[in-house]
Amino acid sequence: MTATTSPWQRVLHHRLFWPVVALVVLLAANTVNRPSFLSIRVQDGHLFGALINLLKNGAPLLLVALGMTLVIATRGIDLSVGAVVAISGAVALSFIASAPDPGSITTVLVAVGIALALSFVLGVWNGFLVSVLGIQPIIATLVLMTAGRGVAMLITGGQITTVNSAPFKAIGSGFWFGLPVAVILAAVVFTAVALLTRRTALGMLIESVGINPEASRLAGVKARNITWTVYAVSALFAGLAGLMISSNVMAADANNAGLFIELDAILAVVIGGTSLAGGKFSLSGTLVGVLVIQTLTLTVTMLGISPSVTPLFKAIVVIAVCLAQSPKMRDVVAARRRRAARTPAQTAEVTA
Amino acid sequence: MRRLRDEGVAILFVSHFLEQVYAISDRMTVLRNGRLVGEYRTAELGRLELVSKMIGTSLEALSELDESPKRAAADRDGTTPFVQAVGLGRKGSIQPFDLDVFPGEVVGLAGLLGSGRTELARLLAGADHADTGQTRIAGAVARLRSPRAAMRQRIAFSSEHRKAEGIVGDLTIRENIILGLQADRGWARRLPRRQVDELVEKYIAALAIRPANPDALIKNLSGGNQQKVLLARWLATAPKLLILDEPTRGIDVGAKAEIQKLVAELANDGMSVVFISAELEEVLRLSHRIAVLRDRVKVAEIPNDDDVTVEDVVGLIASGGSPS
Amino acid sequence: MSTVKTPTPTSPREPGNEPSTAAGTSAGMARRFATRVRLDRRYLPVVGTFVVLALMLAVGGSRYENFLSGRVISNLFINNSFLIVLAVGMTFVILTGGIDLSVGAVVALSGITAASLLQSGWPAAVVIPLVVLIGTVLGLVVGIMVHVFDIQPFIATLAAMFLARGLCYVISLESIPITDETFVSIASWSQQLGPEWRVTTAVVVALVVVAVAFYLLHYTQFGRTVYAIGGGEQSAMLMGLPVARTKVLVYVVSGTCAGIGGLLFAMFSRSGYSLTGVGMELDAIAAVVIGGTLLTGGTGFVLGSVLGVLVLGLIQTIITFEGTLSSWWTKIVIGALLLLFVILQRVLVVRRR
Repeated sequence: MTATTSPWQRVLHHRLFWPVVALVVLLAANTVNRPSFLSIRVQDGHLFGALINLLKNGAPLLLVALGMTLVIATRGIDLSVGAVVAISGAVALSFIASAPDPGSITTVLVAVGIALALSFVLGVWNGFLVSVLGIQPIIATLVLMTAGRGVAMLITGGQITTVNSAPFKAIGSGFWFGLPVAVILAAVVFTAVALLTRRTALGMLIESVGINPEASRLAGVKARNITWTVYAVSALFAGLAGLMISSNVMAADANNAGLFIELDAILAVVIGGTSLAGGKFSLSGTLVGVLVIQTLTLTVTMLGISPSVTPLFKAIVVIAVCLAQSPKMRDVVAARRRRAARTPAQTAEVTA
Repeated sequence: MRRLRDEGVAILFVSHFLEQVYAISDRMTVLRNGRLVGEYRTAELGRLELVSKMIGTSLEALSELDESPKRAAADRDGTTPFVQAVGLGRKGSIQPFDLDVFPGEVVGLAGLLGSGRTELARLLAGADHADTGQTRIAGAVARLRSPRAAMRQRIAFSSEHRKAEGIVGDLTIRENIILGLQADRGWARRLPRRQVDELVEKYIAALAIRPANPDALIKNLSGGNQQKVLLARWLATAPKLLILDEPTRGIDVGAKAEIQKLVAELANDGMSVVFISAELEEVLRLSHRIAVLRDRVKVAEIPNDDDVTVEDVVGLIASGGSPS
Repeated sequence: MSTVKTPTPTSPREPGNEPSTAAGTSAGMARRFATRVRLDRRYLPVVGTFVVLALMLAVGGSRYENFLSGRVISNLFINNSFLIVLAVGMTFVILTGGIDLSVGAVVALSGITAASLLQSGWPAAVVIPLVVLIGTVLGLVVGIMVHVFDIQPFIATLAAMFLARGLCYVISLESIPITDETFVSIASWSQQLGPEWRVTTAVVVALVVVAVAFYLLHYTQFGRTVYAIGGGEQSAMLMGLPVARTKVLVYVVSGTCAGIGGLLFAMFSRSGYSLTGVGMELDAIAAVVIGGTLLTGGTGFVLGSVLGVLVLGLIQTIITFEGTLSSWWTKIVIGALLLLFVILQRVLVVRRR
């Protein structure tokens, strides 16, 4: 019975079937509500349209979620990414603001370099706590989550730092080849991570560590180094996301930059079908998850509901996705399907 | 506890520590491999008898191996052992012990559960750190700080806990087979697809792994087939010393015989093997030498010539090394 | 090696002693001694918290005038009463090895519901139990998600957090002032004890919650089950303890505490606002961890969590007294303390093994 699976059934049983359906429904709802939603126009050689904006606004979340996917695959979690976003933006803007020539490319490149290097160091710190000291990931990254915003405020002196620097502004709102720079950066990082994990053995080793750390260690996998690396990478990506976010508004708000982005990222990863218990991960699933969350946020705004109510809809999505993925629910559904399948078979037997 | 008994409370006491059983129980029930062996009055059953009942002395399926591997130790005069443990020990785990394993030799570890067999193996494999003593590989002192370091010295260790420390459940047969080799190469140098397919195909055929589908998840395999995949993982790393901790526990008779045959063949081809099993017949059948452990001490080491019987080994275990 | 030991009459041992397999009394003594040492270890993190608290009081007292006064200590309790209640609820959840991220949002929800209902003329006698019930129900929902549907506590409470926060915004985006006379009179009740000490309704409520929690954890089967689940769910189940019920109940307790906490915060601020309590769950978790409860579950005390809250509050107080230090140092110091305690716990765990 199960041996013959039609292509349709295979699609139906694909991990990403329901998330993609959710995405399509959301996009359709928007199109119905505003037919111009899907249209993309060219203006001054740049692409414009709601979809482009969607991608642009989703770029920082995608970066954070990519790092989060790798961390979660090793059975970990990184709560500190929001704080790293704030620190990265604060460092870059404070440096540019204090530089003699805020508009020069060199200044901006140095600022970006410092911000990314610092983010990486923070990730190394998280990785050290988790992989060397053996502290649980939740609590290890909670330390930086708590202290990090304080550090960001220390850097900005408690003010919202604003600057005027054309090259820096380009990161968040510039265009390359007609596409927003943020989208291109996110796409490049996504491709790089995908190649790095799937074209080398890194992906398999990460999954192996996440599924069975002790068996992996005994099989000679450098579990410690892998864990350490994913935290460093996660913070690095969060740092880049922080640059995008601060560049988008040209201000570093230590209190609110990247607030709750860790939760959105975890949500995106879970929607994308990567289990919080670690192991198998899906980068394309995370991409879909990010798009679902971003579209959801947009839909709420477009439907004229106050954007503040968005958490309510997120809650509904999380609960729905989690219930659909929970083993209990699957058992119930499977049992019902089996019963449904058996009944006609039995009647057929009787008639024969 | 005895006071409770005198008050009329029935107590069911489960242990493999002989002293405790003798100190506490009035009657005992012996179980082995999920089957009832018998029920005895404590006062009437001697310790030697109990041990042989626990281990089982029935001779089963010996004919599987036509060629007895009990070669004399004569031909290794002058050769260096592949691995030499000198005073190796770990506090709270196993007392310092000496052990040599020569190329092409199978050394069996005999002892009851909890006697230190696994602990000894883990020190040799770098899975635990030794507090004292040293390990020499082919004559040179080697520091086995991690399983990875041991793998670099061509030592492979298959743990007794197949589920917890062996298989990576959600990965496929293919990935589980190449895991050790790939880990040894590092993440950046992925094994070429063709080499992977060749390896996997070779071991699935050689070890008759079922299902023969490399994409099947290992968690869905039977215990025997999981064990074979793990053997394949270690064989793929081309080890010089293979440490097998209870490789035949909880698997069906057919797979068991296959694994035994494989061990004999590997030793014939020059590999050193440390073989641990609670079944003494198996140890006797495969080993050239047998080290006996009891209460976390290595108490005896005997060459396994034709005269050695299961009863002899049981005697050594029960008496703690002094010839009975 | 040795002969079979014949049963020898042993000296009667006091009941409650672990049945020791070795018959010798010296072995029994050694074991009892070991038990006592281990018990001391269990208290060690709490003792550590107490030492830190005492040190902070000593340093503060030596640096600033009027620091070691009844007024400052009273205010410490008054300003942190809601956090004490939250930390108490969080302790139950963390003891079972779970976590509750929803408490901050529930505080906001219960506060804004109270404010909005009072504004539309509901009597305080109905509103107060009702908003506590909101927390209870949300806790129940989380408990069912965690236990029945096997959703990780992190995700289930995250969903509850989004849900509660979203509902807040549905009720009102603005801050709603509370003017109801009964409510205000309850909130502003305070009793002067001597010239300097003072308690308010919120403090009394918080202390009652602590007392009830202490009783529940240490003198009831529910409490023993909570510890047993944290020590190992499988063995708790084998012991025949009501694991399923307890796992749901800890979230109910935490939710109820969050409801009460929201009420106390509403009394404290005389208003309800949908943005209150952002990040408050982290303060509660930090207080619990600083108070010596292991995040892996099984070890910890309610009183430790109270000490943890006081440490957090004292940091704030000292920074206020210092005057020149900016407020963000609070977060940095809390983070550093958290780190210190986590590493301390880690060292203790490793040594025990």
